[in-house]
Amino acid sequence: MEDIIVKSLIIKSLIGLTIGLGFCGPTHAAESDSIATPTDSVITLEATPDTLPACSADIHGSTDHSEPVTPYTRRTERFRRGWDHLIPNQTSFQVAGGIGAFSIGIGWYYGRREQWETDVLWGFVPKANGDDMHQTLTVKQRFVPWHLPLFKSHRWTAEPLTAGAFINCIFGEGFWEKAPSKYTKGYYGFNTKVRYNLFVGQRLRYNIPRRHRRFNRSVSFYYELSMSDLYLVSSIPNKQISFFETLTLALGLRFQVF
Amino acid sequence: MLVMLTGLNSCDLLDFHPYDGRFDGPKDINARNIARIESATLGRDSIVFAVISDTQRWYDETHDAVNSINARPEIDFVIHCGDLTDFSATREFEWMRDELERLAVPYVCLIGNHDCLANGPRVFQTMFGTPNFSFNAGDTHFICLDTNALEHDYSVPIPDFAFINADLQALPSTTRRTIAAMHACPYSDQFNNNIAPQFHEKMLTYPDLQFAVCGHQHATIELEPYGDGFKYYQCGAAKGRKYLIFTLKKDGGYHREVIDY
Repeated sequence: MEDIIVKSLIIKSLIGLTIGLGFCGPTHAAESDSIATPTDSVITLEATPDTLPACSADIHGSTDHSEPVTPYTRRTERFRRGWDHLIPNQTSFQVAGGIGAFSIGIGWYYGRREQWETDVLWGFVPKANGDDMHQTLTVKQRFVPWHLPLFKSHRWTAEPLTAGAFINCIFGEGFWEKAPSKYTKGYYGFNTKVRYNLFVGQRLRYNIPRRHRRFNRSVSFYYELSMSDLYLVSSIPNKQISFFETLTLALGLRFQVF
Repeated sequence: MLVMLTGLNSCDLLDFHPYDGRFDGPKDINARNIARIESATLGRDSIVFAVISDTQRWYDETHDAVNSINARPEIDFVIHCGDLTDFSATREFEWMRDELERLAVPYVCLIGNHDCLANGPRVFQTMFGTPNFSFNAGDTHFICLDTNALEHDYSVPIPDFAFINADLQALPSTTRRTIAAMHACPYSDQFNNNIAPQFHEKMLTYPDLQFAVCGHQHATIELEPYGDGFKYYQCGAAKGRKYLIFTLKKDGGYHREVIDY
């Protein structure tokens, strides 16, 4: 049962990733080399509907312009725009970070200053020391308070602080969230399956000039230092376990699709 | 910041997962240390060994225990009765191993129930060795057994009579007495109590079985689980800051000391 859920989640993630990477960016929409904000993109999309690839029109649900505007078309347009927010607008690739040797994810950036991000990542933990390989699923919430343009060209943007939390779930034999019934209540006061983590990091973004855009609007390199709940409770009561020994480093790329 | 990070173990910092099973540093420690114990005590008829247990997540206390043991040059080796980790996380195994590696004398580790969670048994096996093992210190045979039956749903033979039989067959002719070590003693919640009486009978076939040492229940006490005078000396958790020293005497008797540190 669990396997089926994992597989369907993975398939859904991969479909989302393919859509996100391949077909949605306003890649052919404009000639200018200026930097697009998300608002720009939407305007551009609407201004030049016939230059859009067919699938993009399908996804964005652009209305057939030959149809007269009626309360029905207005309502369905609103309905489509509402659901449009659920289309992932960023993807990521991460190495290590406590959620797998590598992981791929889709996500959403949102908020008035694009200060919030939510990612869903699928991770792969390879075989080691006789143990099987494992798959993991992560939900990561990120807060990015500042986006500081570097240089006049605005090609580079520094994001001096990223912070947030992620919950990771590992699948495989011996990993449980609720202790099996063979144990008396409270025998183990923790679970082996779900990890709660806090992180801080930094990011450097390259805003791809419009004429060079293929699949993405920008690409960022990031690193994040995280701490797992298990390490936190090991470090707090022990002077022998320094704070730095409990940290885990993640290196990653984040792609802003549109 | 960067200097501090580069100073860290790269394998730890770029952690794939708390249960990724990847670690650097010494492996197969029991085999290495057994060779040291056997060569250092060859031909001896008196032995001094210390017992520690349940050091999980009590790194400061374990640090002090190691210092205390290192300050007693009469000790020949140390037996750890299991529960090196609390969650079986790979980094916990490394932290505890690195603490125990500071011991001046060789040590062996048994597997505890807390080391059996998730992929703990595989990490333990790679780092320390098989869950059942035995060795000889001078004229004394030490039999160390995995007794965490509950963790394996009774689907693995624990305690493993096949191992015990093979061990009995292979006893060296110099064996004058035997000491047993395990994590959970008979009639504790982890033990396969269905065969506890048969286990006792089998163990008594060892040459002059003196006593058993165990951990698990976190209190430093003497137990007589079979009510026949045969002693199980339980070593408490590191939190209680106590460990045991046993002196096996030339005349066949022994002396037990509880050390507060």
